Amino acid sequence: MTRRSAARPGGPAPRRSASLRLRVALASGLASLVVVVLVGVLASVLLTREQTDRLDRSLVPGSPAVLGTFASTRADLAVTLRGPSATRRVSGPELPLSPVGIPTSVDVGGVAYRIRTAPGPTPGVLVTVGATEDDTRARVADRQRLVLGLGVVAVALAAGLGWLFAGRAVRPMRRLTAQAATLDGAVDPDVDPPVVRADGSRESEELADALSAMLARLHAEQERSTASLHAARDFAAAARHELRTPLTAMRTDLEVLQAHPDLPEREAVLADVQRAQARVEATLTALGQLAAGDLPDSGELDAVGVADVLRLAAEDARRAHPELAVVVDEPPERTITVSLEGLRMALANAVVNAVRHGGAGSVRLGAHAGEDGGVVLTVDDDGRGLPASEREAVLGRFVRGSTAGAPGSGLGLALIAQQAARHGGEVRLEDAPSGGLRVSLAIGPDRAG
Amino acid sequence: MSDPAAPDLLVVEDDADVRASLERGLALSGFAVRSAQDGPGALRAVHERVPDAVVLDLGLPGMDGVAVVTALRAMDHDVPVCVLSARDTVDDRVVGLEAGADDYMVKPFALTELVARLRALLRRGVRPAPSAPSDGDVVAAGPLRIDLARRTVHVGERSVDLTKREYELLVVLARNADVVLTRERLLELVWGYDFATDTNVVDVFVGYLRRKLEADGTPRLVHTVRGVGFVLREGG
Repeated sequence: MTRRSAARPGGPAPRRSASLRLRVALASGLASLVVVVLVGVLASVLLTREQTDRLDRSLVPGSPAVLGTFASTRADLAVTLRGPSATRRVSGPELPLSPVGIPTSVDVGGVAYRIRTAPGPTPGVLVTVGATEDDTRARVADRQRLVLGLGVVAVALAAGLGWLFAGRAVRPMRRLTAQAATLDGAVDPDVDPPVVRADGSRESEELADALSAMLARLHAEQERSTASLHAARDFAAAARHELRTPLTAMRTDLEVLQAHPDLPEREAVLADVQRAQARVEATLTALGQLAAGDLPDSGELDAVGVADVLRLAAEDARRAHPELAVVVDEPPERTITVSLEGLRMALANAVVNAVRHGGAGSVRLGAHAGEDGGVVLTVDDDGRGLPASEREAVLGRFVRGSTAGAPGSGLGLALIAQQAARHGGEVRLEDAPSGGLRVSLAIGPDRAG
Repeated sequence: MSDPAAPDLLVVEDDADVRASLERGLALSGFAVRSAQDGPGALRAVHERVPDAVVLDLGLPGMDGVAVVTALRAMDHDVPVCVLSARDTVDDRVVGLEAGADDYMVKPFALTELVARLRALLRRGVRPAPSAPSDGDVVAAGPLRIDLARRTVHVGERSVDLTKREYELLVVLARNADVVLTRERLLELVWGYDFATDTNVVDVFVGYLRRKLEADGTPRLVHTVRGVGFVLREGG
């Protein structure tokens, strides 16, 4: 046990078991061997008995004269007469006395005889007739050899046929092996997971199905982890890049303050430092939210009414922007299964976007049924809108529109897009009826009741 | 700030906070600062009056910093350009400097460092190079021929197109053929940085030179002497 588990890598390759084909051939050979032996033994027993019976039947006592005549015609016969006074050999060697009527095997002078004793033609006389068993034994041995020969041929034939047929039977397995050997560990996310097929036997098909299912699982798993890895890497790069800008301003300002302690515009510089610091903070918050949303299936889902979502978002907006007029439309009575935190954050970002970059004085929150059966939440503002050509691009991370006002992280709309994607929908930027920008956050039909 | 002798500096940066900070910081450091927030604005400012030096953010929206450098050099403006990058990947440095910028700094950087480098670059800009060429002056080393009067470089029969800073680096290396020059010495001779500064700009430019000189399979001329610096010589 210990010694086996201590086998070191690089040692001799593990001994391969015999091939399935060989095992099938051996099995069929072995099975036929058992049959052949049984049949052979039985045949041999029956043959011996039959030959002995024939011999016994030939030992029919008759008159000594007849017997003498008969015996003289056959060299293998011996006849001995026993009277009350004398014993007389009619032919052949003298045979011993055997129980009357029962055929018996005896050895006479080194020769095996089958003898039978019967009452003679005259009372008091016993006739013992015997025949050598050589012929019979030779015949039996002959037949036995024949049976043995046939048996060997049958076993060889069975093994050979087993080998042949097993070859056909294991062909699907061979195909399966060949296919599995061509699979490499690399997973290309753009390519569907490979499907293994091995039609021909139920076992191989089941094995192929199991293998395909396992590959699909592996593929999906690897794809997920690759996506997470990419997301994390992009996130880290973007975060570094994005934080450097306000940090540059901060560092410059601090150096100025250090080099010119009596600067008249000291207060203004300090305000700038504070603003840059706030930017760093806001960017970090947005990055954190973005990272949380990137995690697969993060957070729990709540079943909430659309009206409640809008009401909460409106409260958030009024709290964050006291000067902003917030109007809530009467929404359809629908229940949606969503991450409430995520949706509130997305809607809050839409409102911030309207105020900060649109210069909006009022926003209108609404909802309507989507074309696909989902629900569309809308945030309309009366701000300066966004050129149609930029509407696609600003949904990307760290992209700011040309009309963007105060500095932002460039992440607000990206956060909304992320939440929409998380809820099986998408974000669209359109012209609002009120003249500004409309942010439409669609929620997929499978999330809407 | 009102000093008429103050060098005219153009700061091109799209981020309002950074732009304001740089304007203030550089002005307090004795420069006359103008600023632009995008590429076209920068080119307009240059067209108005050619500045003595340019501080250029690479990550401008629309026309980016590389395009601005390329346009400046295409218009034969030789002003020193220091690019600012918010990324620390080598690629960004390559594109900015390859287009003809003289130096780069990665955000966030020390203002004093930027000021020191700008002053050095400006000194080099007004003062004739220590090796002012006279007509017919030719520096040759192996297959390399530098015509100082025409500012042309040939490797064998092939003409090699170099940016200003690449050319100056090559001239210094060729004039000192077989002499190992440290990075510090090269920074001083080519960039005028006679102060300690933490930059690998020499390595980046040596990389460009090698790529251009060895484009057709010419054996390496500019060799790295590990732990010391660089030397131009034929063979190993």
